[in-house]
Amino acid sequence: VQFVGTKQWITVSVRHDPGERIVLFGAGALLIGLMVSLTGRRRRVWARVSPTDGGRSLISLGGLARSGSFADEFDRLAGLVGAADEKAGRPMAVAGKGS
Amino acid sequence: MAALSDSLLAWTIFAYLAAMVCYLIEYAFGPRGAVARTAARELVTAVGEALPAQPVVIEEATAPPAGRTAALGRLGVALTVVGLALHAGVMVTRGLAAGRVPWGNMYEFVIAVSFVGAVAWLVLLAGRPTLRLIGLFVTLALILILGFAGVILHTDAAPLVPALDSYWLKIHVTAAATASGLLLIAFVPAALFLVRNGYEAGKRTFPYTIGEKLPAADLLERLTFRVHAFAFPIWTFAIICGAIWAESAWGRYWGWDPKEVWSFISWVAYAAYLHARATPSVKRTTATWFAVAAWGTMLVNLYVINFVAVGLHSYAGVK
Repeated sequence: VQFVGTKQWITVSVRHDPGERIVLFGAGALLIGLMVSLTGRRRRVWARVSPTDGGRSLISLGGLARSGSFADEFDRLAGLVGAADEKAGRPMAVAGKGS
Repeated sequence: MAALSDSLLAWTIFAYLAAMVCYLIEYAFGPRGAVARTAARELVTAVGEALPAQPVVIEEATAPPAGRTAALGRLGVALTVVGLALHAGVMVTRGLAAGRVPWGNMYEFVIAVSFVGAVAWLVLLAGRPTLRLIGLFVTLALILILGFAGVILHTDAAPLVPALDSYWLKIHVTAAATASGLLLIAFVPAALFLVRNGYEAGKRTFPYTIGEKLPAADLLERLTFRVHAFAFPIWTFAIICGAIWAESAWGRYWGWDPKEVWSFISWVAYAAYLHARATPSVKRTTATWFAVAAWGTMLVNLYVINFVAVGLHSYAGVK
């Protein structure tokens, strides 16, 4: 076995990446959007106002939750619509069904 | 301190083992829960009357299973808490011996991950006592993970390699260990949901017979989703922090290192599960199979990559 000496070497990596800030911003936005979409409770409510005899209106409400049930919340919402209506002096019939 | 840490690991495994025996006895000899009884009665009626079965209404049992064996179940929970305290002791003494946070190599990382899993399990149990019956599977998983760590992965306590010596170790690795622990433990309700769901659908062959005494499938499914939904942003955060650290340490934020690639694969797989779960047209069983597949990619990332692939994340220190 013979020692034949060493050869000195160096590896240099030079890099310029102008996209880094964009990626960082995108990653932050992704994380925030992710948490909002995973923790938010999504539910939709539809309202249809149709005229009835005697110049009155019928408000029909419909609700749909993405997961679980929100019947209690929906009933409260329907009650609020009816109460607000009576206050305005234009009593209307409110019919609703939540799912 | 390092020797104390190692002997504490043995005691931790022993405590979890004792807890598992308690859960096992409760599981094997305890009465079936109210939920399971309801389902069984409906099925008998369906067979006896030759009429189409009524939809089986599964109510969520809020009370923990009672009976003579319930005391053993509670003892199992107590022993799990003892095991968790010893588990924490393993990490503290190890950290003192090495003079740093105790997750600097694969052995320590796996112990930290399983610690997070054990904590997550006890937190879930505190909220839903009816889940106690699945403690059997949780402690079994903990024993296997810790046993494998102690026998195969064990390395002596030592200072860190220079590349890891950064405050990002505390941020990136802590987030990764937390997310991994939660995602690994989330597999337990996911797999048990598939078993229990098959049982509720009337299947009585081997893996489904385990489902007889499990909590209701609906409860397990919601639990699966909640743990995943909680862990997934943490996993995302861990990958982002890893990229920031990689930029400052290696000069690029993403270099397709094997660990990076598999973290990304796991991320996509878990995103696919959460997306499938949020899509009404995808069946819950199909979505849960996505979670099981994603868990497989996590295992590959945790074990296979560290042993097989050579990359910049090769800090396992396993010879």
